[in-house]
Amino acid sequence: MDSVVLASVVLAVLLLLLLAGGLWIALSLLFVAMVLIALFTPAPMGSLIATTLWDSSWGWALTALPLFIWMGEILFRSNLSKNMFEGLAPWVNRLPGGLLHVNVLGCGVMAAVAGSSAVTCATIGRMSVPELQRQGYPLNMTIGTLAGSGTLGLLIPPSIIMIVYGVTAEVSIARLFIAGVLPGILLMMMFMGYTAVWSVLHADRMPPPGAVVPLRERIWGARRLLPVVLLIVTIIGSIYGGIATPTEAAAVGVVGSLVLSGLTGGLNRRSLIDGAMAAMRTSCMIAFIIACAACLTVAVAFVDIPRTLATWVQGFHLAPLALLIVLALLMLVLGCFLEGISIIVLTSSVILPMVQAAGVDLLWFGIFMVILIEAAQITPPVGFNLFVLQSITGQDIWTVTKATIPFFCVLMGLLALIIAFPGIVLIGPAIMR
Amino acid sequence: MRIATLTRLLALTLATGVPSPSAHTLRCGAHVRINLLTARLAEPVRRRIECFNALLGAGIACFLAWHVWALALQSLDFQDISPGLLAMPLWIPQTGAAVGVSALAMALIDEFFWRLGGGLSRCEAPDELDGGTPVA
Repeated sequence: MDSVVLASVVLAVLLLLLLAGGLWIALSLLFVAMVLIALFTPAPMGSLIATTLWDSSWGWALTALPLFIWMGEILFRSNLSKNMFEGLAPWVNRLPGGLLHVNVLGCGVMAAVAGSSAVTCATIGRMSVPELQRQGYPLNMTIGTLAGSGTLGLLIPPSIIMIVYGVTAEVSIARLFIAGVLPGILLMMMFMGYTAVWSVLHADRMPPPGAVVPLRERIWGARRLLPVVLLIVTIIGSIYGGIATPTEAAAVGVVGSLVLSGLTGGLNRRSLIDGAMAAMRTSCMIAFIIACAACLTVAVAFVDIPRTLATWVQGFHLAPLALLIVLALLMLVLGCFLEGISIIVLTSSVILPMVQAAGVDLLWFGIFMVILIEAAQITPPVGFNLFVLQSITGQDIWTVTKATIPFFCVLMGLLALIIAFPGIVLIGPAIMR
Repeated sequence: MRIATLTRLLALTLATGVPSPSAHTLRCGAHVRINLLTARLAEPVRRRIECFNALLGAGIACFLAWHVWALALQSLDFQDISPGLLAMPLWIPQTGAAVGVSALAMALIDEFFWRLGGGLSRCEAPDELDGGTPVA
């Protein structure tokens, strides 16, 4: 028991020191794992680490990752974002909140194809902020809608963060994807609902609504967006129907996005190579972190930290709800300093056994975690969406944060909803197949 | 059946592919680290810390490279093959992984001496999210 406490202290202190000192995250995880195994177990450290690293890097579940990242890179380099504004604007300009909804919907579509929420935010923001400012929309709502809905990509499949969670928690990625659909749509509706209510209450600060555009012109304007939406629906649908595994669906997605960007222009030798190289670097980074995190998981399991901690927490006789609230607070604090993938791999080795012992469904917990990580993207001082909007709008971090607070609260509202009604998450996977 | 074999092949390729471009990824600044604190330090202090990081990283990578090579040699000795229909000798992808980890170790050693000699860090991410000049 004493050696477990000592090992836990070593784990926490060493990890904190290395991370704060700026050592690469993957190497920090690996080093702490090595130290724990060498000091606190009789296991042969070198070969154990090498085997774990090897086993965790050729799991077939991971194969969907580079494909989905590549698909995002291809579409990101196509003319998709340029067509987004003219395609979406005629549909929403008569709604209360007007063109602000373009931010939410545009981010929703862009987020479904691009893996990173900061890139989504930057792409849509660079295009819509000047236009919204020109038409006199209030800056705080422009920033808020962008920051909030920029995080949608984590919840709407295909989502990179869900693949990472699925691999580390050994939960089916296909089921995670399907579980994210309903909360994702709900979140978009909540963002749009808040925007609409706000603009009705502050009608004096909103510009007059735009002209009515006939239906035929609206469809013509959206002609370049429809194939992308179709591609996303095909991917989610084929996973949902059990026709394809996530990896197969991702391969179809890559081919589809190559065809799309070939037809709409924007695909050339240069962008193809750039996209593939960027996808390779991102996949390498993520897979390396996952593999190193697997070593840490093995190490803490050898030292018996998760079981001891779970027993200790059970000693408090916390209700599952109280446990969830404590974990949510912990992740929000971590989210102030770390980005999403690191939060998952850092906490999973210790938290997941504990959550499982408390009788919480790991599939549901995955969505719970993803929503918290979305919130982490918009909490200062380290929130990547905030940095992006800061640089696009030229406002200071305080203004950006203040504009984002209502949307942070909407996210917390969604979290409360899925705790109160777990069916929102679980019904999709339940009726799957 | 054929698809399952393809997926296996892809998984093995990925296993080779994870560490192989690691050195390139490092140089492009795509391996993430937290520079919230170090970025605020004065250059001399920062250089010392980053030298230490590169040295520690190089040590870890060298150690790892040694053991991954050992793993590949062991697979060759025991003639291990991958499960499933593909039945590829495991030492082939494992050698790829070993080469990759060795390259990472070399990149980190190189970075250590470069930084020690007073050069600026070459592992910084280009600021691709930079919005350029503010538009509003």
